[in-house]
Amino acid sequence: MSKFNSTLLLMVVIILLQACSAVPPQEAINAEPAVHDVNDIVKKDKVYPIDVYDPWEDMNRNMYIFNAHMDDYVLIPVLDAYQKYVPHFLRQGIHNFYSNLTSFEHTVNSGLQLNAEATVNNGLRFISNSTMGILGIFDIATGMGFPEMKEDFGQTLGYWGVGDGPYIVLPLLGPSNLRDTTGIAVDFFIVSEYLLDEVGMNQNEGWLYFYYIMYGVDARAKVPFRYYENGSPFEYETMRMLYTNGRRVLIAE
Amino acid sequence: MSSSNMIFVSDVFNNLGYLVPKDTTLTKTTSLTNYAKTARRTGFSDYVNEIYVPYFTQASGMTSQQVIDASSLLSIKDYLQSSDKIAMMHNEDDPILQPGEIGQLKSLFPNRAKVYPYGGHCGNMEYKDNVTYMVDFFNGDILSGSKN
Repeated sequence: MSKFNSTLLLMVVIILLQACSAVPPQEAINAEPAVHDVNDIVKKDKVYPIDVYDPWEDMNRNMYIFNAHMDDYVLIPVLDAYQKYVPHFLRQGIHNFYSNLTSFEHTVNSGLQLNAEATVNNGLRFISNSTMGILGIFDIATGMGFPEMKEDFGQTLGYWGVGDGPYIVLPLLGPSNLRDTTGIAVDFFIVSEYLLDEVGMNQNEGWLYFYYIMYGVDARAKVPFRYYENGSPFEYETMRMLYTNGRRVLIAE
Repeated sequence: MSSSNMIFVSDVFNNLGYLVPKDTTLTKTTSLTNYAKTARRTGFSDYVNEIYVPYFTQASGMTSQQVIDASSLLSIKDYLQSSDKIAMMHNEDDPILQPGEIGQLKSLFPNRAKVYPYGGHCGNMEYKDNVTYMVDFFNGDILSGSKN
């Protein structure tokens, strides 16, 4: 593991530990039940659509708030500047470059899920975009009939029967669960450690910083979500439900 | 969903003890999942009868019926009928309409009511032609008769 990756891991661990030290919620001083009280209405043994296994909720909610602040103070201002000063064709090229690297990841995972069609599609996509598309800067494969067929390692695990596991809100990356976090780590290894090493793109530390910063900017630019804009006090619950169900759909297809 | 949001927030802001027991301290990490479930199972009419009407009867000294009447557009009928700043856009098949209500609404906005046959509840708000109509209204083109 490179020095850069160790630093990143250390940062993540520190943030996670900080989140653990949160004060537990205070119980009501007044024991008088509410008019429509939770104890009367919510059935203990029933699984509601909004229910997701979330044993680390306290930590996750802290991380959710941390991510919202990061969005407010860092990511969105950077994104605004990026969209204002970097011309569209360049942004598109950067986006294509990263999405081409993930095509490699998609190829490996399609194979691991024994999906011949997707493996061939993603493999040809990666090869044609890497060569004729000049390191993936131009997406010519979509026009050639090889569309992006996303398969990540979290989906591979799901395909082989691994359940969601506890819900986890990751620093910067947002909603996930134990299965998908494992998947992210493996996919990171496939692309960053294996592929970049193979093509000699991880020799220079300065370049790696640039690579990961641009990766983050591009990744955030792809997601239109903004924190606390849907006017609901239950945003955390809603995101948790949508993420979990969305991933189940992706695994099933 | 938006009704759940409204019920929960007005309860917490006013410490009503409606879904959340009175004087409960909610921190930024308190799980709201169970409250989301109870809010989801509390209807809009519960909110009106148990929060809205009691709150305004207490605040204004009116009776329940007076509060309900005062919440109706009919209570500002004279203003609505004479003000050309306000127009109405509605759909005949909107599920929140009671039978006969659309006629009543039309009478509140003489020459300023646009009723589409279909569109449900706000389903056609972003339809291009309808947006054009709204923009034309605010530009004064509808009332002056230059566009229709």
